[in-house]
Amino acid sequence: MKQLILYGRGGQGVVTAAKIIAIAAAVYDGGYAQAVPAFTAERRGAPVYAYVRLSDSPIDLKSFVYEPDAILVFDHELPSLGVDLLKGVSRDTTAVLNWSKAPSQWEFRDRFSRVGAVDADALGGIPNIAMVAAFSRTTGWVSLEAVVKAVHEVFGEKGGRHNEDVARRAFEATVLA
Amino acid sequence: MRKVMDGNTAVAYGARLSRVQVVPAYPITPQSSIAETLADFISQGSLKAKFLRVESEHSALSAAVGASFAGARVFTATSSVGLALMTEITGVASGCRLPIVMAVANRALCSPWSLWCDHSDTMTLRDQGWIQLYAENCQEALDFVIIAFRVAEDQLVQLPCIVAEDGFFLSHLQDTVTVPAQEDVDRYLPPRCPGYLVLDPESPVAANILTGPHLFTEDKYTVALGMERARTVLETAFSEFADVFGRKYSSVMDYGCDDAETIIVSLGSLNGTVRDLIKKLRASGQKVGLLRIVAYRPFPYERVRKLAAKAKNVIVIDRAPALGEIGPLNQDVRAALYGLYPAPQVTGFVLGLGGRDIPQSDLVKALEYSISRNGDYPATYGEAWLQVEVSAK
Repeated sequence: MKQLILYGRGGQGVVTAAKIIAIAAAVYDGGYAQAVPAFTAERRGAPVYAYVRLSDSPIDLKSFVYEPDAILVFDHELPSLGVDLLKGVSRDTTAVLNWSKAPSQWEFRDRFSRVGAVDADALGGIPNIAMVAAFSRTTGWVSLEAVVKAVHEVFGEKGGRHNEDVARRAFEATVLA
Repeated sequence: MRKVMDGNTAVAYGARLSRVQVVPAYPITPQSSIAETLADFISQGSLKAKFLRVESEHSALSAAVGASFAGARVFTATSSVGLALMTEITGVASGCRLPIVMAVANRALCSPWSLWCDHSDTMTLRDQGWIQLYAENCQEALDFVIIAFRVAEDQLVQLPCIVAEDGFFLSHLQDTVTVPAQEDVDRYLPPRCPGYLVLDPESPVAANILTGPHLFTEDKYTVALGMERARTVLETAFSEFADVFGRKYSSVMDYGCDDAETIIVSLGSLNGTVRDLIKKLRASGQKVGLLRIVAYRPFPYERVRKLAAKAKNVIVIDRAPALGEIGPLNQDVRAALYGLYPAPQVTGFVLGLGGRDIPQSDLVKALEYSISRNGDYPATYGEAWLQVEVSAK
């Protein structure tokens, strides 16, 4: 089982990103998934988070995620708002970052086994779909094709096409370190 | 059909597949999206039902009572103080033997105000003649609605039923769910066949009238009998559900109780977290078992007694505050074990109030405390409030 924490801010589509990862894994990659809701205030700009679990078998666990196998950071400035991105991480944890610079330059680079970065804000409005695609590229835990199908399921025909384009471009643009 | 959906959507699918005919509902967090999804189904034409927008939960259940009296299959949903506002009517539904099914997305009762999960809302109804089923995951939230109608409408039962899903932990959990085929549900759940009393303007009768001391006891006794019969009807309904859909449920579901020295008893979504922990503990040689209460009412006393009799140590987790008593689940488990000799030692815990998560680390603490009594936890009536922070003691 893989456990994820998604860190972002209200308005960045964090909850939708969690749902798309879960749909991609459970419906289109044939595994099991759950996305655990954020218990935070629904305010634009405020720190929000969500949890995802991915597994080959049905998932019993219903608690929050305390020791993530991967974190997705939708805004690299979250630590300045008091968000502790290192909480529960180990040397085996992977990080996926929304940021325009090389992941090797990130201040916490050495605390993670692997870091993937994509300039998600530059790829089209809300960064969530680009982040999901970068997550797919960095970890391989969900396939890009499954992400694309999940995006179509969630956004319908028109939004689906646009977001598929964002996902494919973000997948290619993800830089690994 | 495999989908990813949250518990509220799963409940709405369960109601649609049950072909509910009347849905009176009033919004409240975290239930609201159940009623909203059903309203969408009705407006899109995928569910042929009457949606009644009412001005309060009191009215929602009153309308449910009227529609059920008229012979319809009725569904509603609520949470927390919404359920509290219904309580004038909850006894009417059971006393008049109306098989209404109500989903409750469990949310703490105030005060202080909370939007988040605990079981203090449904626990207030434990003696009201409503069957209560607690889902562990979103699949069960869907399945239990269908099973609830089947049991509630059984001629031997004719009682209302609550399907409880933990607020946020299930109501808003996106989970992997298999949606049953309509034809299979139709095979399992035939249209409602109303009992002896159906309101019909062509043939007026009075129901729920002032009843004197000479009949009141008899009336209540028949409700108690209906609840008693529901035990057997539930098991038949669960077993036939497995025949049609392949998913096996029961009023009590155990994991590893056969050889367990310690047994953990719990309700709702917490069971998954407990089972996951027990798998790890058993792999390291610790004989721990899970005794999961699915049907909290009627309470399965005999099966609890049988499963827990051989254990040395029983842990009961109440996700409801015990104020002036031990927790409700703890009371029931102790009553089930009464008279056993030798009897297991029972240790109660109050955990997970007002949305507080119950991490496995807290379950491990509870386990250690139940065996060694080492740990300085605040307690009332010997029941440990293990999650109270030291500063609040």
